[in-house]
Amino acid sequence: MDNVSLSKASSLFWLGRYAERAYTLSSYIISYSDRMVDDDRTAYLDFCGRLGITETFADKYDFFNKIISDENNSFSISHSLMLAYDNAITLRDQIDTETVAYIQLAYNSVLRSFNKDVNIMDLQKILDYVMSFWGAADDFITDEDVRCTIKAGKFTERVDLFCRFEKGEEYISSAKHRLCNYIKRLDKNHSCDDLKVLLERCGSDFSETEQCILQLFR
Amino acid sequence: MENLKKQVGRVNESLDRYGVKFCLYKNGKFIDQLFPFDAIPRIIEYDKFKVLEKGLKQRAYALNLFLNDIYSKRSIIKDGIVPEEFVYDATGFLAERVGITPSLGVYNHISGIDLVEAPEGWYILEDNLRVPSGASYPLIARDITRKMSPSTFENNKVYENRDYADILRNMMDEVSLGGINVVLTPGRYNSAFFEHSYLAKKAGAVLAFPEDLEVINDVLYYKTFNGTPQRVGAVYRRLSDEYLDPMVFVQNSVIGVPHLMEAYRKGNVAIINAPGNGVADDKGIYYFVPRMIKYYLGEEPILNNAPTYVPYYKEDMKYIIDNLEKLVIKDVSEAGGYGVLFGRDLSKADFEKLKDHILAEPRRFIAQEIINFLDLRV
Repeated sequence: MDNVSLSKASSLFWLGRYAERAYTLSSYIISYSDRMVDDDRTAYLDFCGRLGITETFADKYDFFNKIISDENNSFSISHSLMLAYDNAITLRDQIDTETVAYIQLAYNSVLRSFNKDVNIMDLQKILDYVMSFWGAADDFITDEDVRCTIKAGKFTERVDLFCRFEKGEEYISSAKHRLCNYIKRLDKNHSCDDLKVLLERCGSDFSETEQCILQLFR
Repeated sequence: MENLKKQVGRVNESLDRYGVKFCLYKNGKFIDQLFPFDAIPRIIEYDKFKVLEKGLKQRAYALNLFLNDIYSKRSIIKDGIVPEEFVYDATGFLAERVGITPSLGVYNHISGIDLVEAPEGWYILEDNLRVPSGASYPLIARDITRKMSPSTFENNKVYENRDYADILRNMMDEVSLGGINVVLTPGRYNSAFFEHSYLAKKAGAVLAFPEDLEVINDVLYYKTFNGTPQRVGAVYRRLSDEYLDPMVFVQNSVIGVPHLMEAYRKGNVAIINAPGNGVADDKGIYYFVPRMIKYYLGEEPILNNAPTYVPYYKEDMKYIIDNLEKLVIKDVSEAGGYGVLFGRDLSKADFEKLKDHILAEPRRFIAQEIINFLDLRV
């Protein structure tokens, strides 16, 4: 990455992570919402437990409000999109204005759709915009290493979330495999040579592997 | 035009989509706000525009010659055209850059010259030669407006502005002293950050944050992720002189690049605009620009200053004191709209206080006739 500084590489990586966090958590919230329609009214407690959220919520509505639109809560979709946006706008010269626009749209959407009542299906817009962001990233970013760095962030987050939510071996393996490929490409100094071994033995605790990856972008 | 009127809302929605923002700090709070844009054009006819273009080029060229002179031979002072105290007392005068000739002798690569139209014609209000801001907004607005209302552009001959980024790139390449071009931004929370990132992208330059740059052996480098530093040939800096290099200016500046001025002094990097340009856009110096045009170019100014009086000269002082209630008084040490007082709006006590202040510190003020701005035909 000849024209990418260390600070920008870090921004690319975290852009990928926050965009993926917003995407995957949005899809999980939709599915937890469905569970809570019937008998499983406190399913959100399971959601919180998996993410290590210790805050207590009055009920599922309070949970939805805060988990989606409370920008001051570090676990919210709104917070993830705000941070994705903060990173994206510093990267316009690397990822193109069109690509930045989809993060802008997702962020605008969460700010405007959820400022009064929560309608879970408004999360679909966020899923659509973030998915479009990934399409734009593939289409508009010409530097392959830049793309790889964003994807390394994306799959780091995905492996972490899939492990936490026990997504299933098939999905987790696929995410780990893709993460390995992206990191291998970027790791010119071989500081993550053990990544594959770490990923194989990480189980649901991704923290050691995550530290190894973060080392690359410090 | 009817079609364009219908699209006004959509044009602004599109600006929102692309995050076209200008940020403000209000009561200590950072406010990220959309850049307000009126898609209905204010028309300047081609012939008038060509005169403005010629006049602005003349003025920018004379100001460049003035900067070159002030930081080298100072002949305009020796010849008595500009009093020396107006130069050396100007806050924008940088003693640190005396004797440094910038690449190709260009100081004000980009000039932001404020114009107003009055019933009797156009006036120059002020010159901005330090870090002029704002070129990105008409660029993206034009792009969007063309898409939203192609018929407006099919049916009217509209002057093209979208080549600005190419001109910027060519200029950076021209003055470059070997290496990549970078746009140096102080950071994401700068009011014009959108502009920094947008212009970098459009001009094919790298958007650099202060921590991305370092000077090694008097050469400026961009630190890359893969460990190979890239030499920088031209820096389009979007921060003020005083924060540019903590080794020379404000010592606790964390948005500057240590030793940048040394790399500049050694002729290893071009800085756009040149440090020290503030002396030429000082409100006191503004008075002398028409004289500069005659002195350096041997030409009559094409565009006029607003009628201005400098209390430094006795006859001007008398006029100002006698007519204070119908003048606007500007403190030359202030910028950005601060330090501007209308005589007619002052209380009796403040009026007298200002009068005493002008008499005590004549170099500190200029006075101008109040111009009745003419709204353009819409």
